[in-house]
Amino acid sequence: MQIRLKNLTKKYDNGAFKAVDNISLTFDESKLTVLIGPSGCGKTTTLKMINRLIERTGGDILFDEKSIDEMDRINLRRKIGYAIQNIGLFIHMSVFDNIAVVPRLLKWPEQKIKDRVEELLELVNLDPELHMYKYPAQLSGGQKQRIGVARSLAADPDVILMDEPFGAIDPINREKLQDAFIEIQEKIKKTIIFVTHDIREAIKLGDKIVIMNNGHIVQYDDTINVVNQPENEFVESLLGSDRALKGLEMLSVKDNYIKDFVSINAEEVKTVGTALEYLQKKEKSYAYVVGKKGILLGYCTTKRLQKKDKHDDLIESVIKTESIQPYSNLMEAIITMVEAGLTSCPVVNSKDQLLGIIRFKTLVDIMGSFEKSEE
Amino acid sequence: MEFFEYIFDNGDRILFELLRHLQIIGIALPIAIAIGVPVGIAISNHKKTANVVIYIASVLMTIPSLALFGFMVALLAPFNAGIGVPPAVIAVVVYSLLPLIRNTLVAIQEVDPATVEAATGMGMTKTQILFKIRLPLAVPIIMAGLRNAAVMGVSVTTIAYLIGARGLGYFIFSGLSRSRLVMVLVGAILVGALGIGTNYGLLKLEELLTPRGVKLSRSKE
Ligand SMILES: Nc1ncnc2c1ncn2[C@@H]1O[C@H](COP(=O)(O)OP(=O)(O)OP(=O)(O)O)[C@@H](O)[C@H]1O
Ligand SMILES: [Mg+2]
Repeated sequence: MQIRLKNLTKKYDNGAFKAVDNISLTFDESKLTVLIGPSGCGKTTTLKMINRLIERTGGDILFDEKSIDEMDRINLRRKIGYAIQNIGLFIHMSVFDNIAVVPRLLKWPEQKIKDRVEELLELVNLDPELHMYKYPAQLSGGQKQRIGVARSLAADPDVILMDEPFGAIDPINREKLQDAFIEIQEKIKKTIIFVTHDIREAIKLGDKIVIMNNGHIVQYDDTINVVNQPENEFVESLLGSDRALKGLEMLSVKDNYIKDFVSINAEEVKTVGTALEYLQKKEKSYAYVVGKKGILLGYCTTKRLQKKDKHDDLIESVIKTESIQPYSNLMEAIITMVEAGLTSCPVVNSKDQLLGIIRFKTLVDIMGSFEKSEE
Repeated sequence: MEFFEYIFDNGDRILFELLRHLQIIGIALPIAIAIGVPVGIAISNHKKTANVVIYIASVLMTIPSLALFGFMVALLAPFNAGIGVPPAVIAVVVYSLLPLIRNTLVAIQEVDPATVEAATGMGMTKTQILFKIRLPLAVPIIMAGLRNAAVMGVSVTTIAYLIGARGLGYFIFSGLSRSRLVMVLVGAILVGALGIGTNYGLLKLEELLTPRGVKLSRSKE
């Protein structure tokens, strides 16, 4: 569903103050558009006018060209997923009941609701068996936000409004959630309007970015264009000084990793001796080792294997390693590799299955090309 | 010694008055809940009305119980109900209104605005928000009001003996008039124990009615 704002305005104090001042723009169908700008610039107000938590004072909002006035407020809200600033989970309800709220309002049959809740928990990477009947008080901050996201998706809405959904989370978990979220959007392709304070988050998640200030739109464009051609100094300062590095944030691991690589399947290759033979045949000094269903176990090196007896179990010589997910961006990949001192890093999906490897050299080359374009 | 002797000799009487006492409270509290909780909910949207209602309830509560019984006897006499259980029940209801209305009001108003906003944004109607969100979250505070009312009810009912409602007040007041201190003591202990017991029983009920998630988040704080 496409959402068009037409001269949308919100006045307060009898018109003395305009929280949102005559903005017009179209949120594209199936795209994630980020709203960003300084505190108080009107992001939340804009969002809440779309589900009528705040009534506009001027202009119009059109859903696929149908005016918001022609729709019943309650029905409209049930069709729009909404994740509020600060999550707002219902503490007296279990995770299951929290997610089931809108489906129940829509009178879905219980079996369908149960299936849906399980599906959503899997989607946000929480084990349904383990978490379905927990209460918000028993969850970590990151888990709560995942439930908040799952809840906003529950009734399969066409439109999802998210107000700083990852705001209250530490940087490491926030990145994980963002990765998971990109993966989710890749699957569901909803029209999402996503409010954030964080320019990195905006660049990482947004197909398009709306930059707001004082109730106005300063720039609205595809993310890449906003980064490469900031409209004015305000946008430039919002982007910050390290634009070359920010460029890396726009590129994701999934487009830059190598899929043909040498790995050893520990289900087949059980002893040190066979592993060594295999490595020698492939002329490699190391290889990643996977177990059942291709799940990454770590890596082994010829150097280390040669010190062992060739009848030893291979598993015992496997060295654990950091890994990275395909929807992470290259900036995160660099940080992971520098911190762990790796020259290449395995790429795994959310189930820890090995997909490929990404090389440090690739990242350096890409950075080099960015620096050239900036000169 | 005399104390236990009295209890043994008057077991039937004690049981009778205890049951009467419980009967009065048992009739009054449900009525008080049926009035207090809906009123508390109804006024939660209107600040001015709420102030007025709370004020009236507080004034009612400051009327000394003997005076209240006096009014009651006068008012109910035309209906042939001036003495006995009815005025006692009404008095307990009147005194219970303030804690019940006030606690319901506070509990409903204090629900986190973010929670209400989330519920509204998800498409719940006002009524759904009241029954599915506000009331379940309000249970512990409303129950605290009820306990307050119940304990007060135990002592008001004691005084209701004076208008012929009987109950445990019998031991205290007849003991006083006959200068039998042992009777007074038995009465005082029974009233005290009943107060504590009622409070304890209602605490258990509160535990039962409070949603698990609310208990968990309270114990975390
Ligand atoms: N009820 C109100 N009356 C008057 N002014 C209001 C009201 N609600 C919001 N405002 C003002 O409107 C402006 C926009 O508020 P809004 O909540 O949309 O900001 P925001 O961009 O979401 O900020 P933040 O990033 O801090 O969440 C602010 O200056 C705020 O003070
Ligand atoms: Mg905001």
